[in-house]
Amino acid sequence: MRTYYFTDILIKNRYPQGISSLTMAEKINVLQQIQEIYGITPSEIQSVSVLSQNIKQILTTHFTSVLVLGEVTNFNKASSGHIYFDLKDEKSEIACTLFMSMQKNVDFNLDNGLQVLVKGEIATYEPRSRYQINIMQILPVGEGLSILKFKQLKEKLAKEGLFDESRKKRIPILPRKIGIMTSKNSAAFKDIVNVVDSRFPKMDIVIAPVIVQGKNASEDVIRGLNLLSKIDEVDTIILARGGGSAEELMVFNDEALVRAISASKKPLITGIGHEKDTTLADLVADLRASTPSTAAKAAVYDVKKLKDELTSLERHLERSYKTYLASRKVYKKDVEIKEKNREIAKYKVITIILISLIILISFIIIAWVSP
Amino acid sequence: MNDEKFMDGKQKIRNIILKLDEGRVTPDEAKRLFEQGMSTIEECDSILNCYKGKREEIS
Repeated sequence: MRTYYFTDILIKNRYPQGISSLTMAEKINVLQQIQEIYGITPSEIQSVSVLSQNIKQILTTHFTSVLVLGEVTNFNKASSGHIYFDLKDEKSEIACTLFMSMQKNVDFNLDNGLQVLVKGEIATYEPRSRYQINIMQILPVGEGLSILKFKQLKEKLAKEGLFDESRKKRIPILPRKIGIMTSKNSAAFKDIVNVVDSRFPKMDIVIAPVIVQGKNASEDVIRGLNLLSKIDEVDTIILARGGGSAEELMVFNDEALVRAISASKKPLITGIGHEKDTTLADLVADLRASTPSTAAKAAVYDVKKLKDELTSLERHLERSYKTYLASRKVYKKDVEIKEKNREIAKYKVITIILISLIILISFIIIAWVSP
Repeated sequence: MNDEKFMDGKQKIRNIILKLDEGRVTPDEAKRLFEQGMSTIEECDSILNCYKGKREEIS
């Protein structure tokens, strides 16, 4: 309403271009009219700029260091390198700026949806009377903190060489028994058994039912791993779980579990979650399969194919032996013919010599007898 | 371990086949190799047949 009256007065006084263009004398004139009409003392009235300055002064004096918890939204990284976003909770939002110079200590991926704790100061942009938090420090919490912890643990274990290919054990083609660690009545277990039955129906299986979700899951999986490790005939172990949220799969990022898998003397295949999920257990395992079914396929060969291979080798062996024998017979015949020819040749020579001798002796006798 | 026996067995059979194919062995040696190969095939086959399909549970 007050705005309306101001405009009215200004029009009356023929200042349609607005109060900002007035000279000091004209402004004094306007203020006098306000006092006359509304009874408002001119000293109580502030200009927009003065009000904005006053707000700025209060904010920057009283909010030099604030700690605010909220969720990142409207995330935007400008071409300048500065990051702008709003921090929100159920009812409100506040603008935040993370200048490039302050980004060097941010070692996680800041993005929409992350819960963060922000430390900073309130700054205002006077020309538009806007305020924001200029961030000095930003820390992930909740899911964000989990992501950071995951990243840091992954780096630590990688440095120790736990994920090195050289540490990975070969998965046997013919394990004496398969050890399975998963929730007993889960779809994952059924999938594994179905695959094993279809590929190697008589494969012997030892199941160690374990909790694969929640507070005690990690300890339980380690317990299951220890149990299976003690059975000499178990040559391959499968650790499986069906799909779930990142939080549900967190158990497979537990440091103690990852170290236990790394220390396992028996080769271990993981089939955790779906294709896109990669846990630290997957990275340390001797083989990472994308799902429980794929893990079962990797653990058990198709027995029919193995039998076919043997049949093929048997045929090849018989064929090779027959070929060998046949080649020996041909060789023998050749040798016999050659020997016969040699004998014949030998007799021919002897016969010729004998005939020659007889002729010679005949000539000698004739020569000697004749007068 | 079944795996090693089976894999070694297959390799042994392949080597025997190779020797027979080369033909540089005496007939007696060839016969011996052939019999050895057949016996290894039987051993490999018995490895595949030794499974019982048992399902155990430990806790």
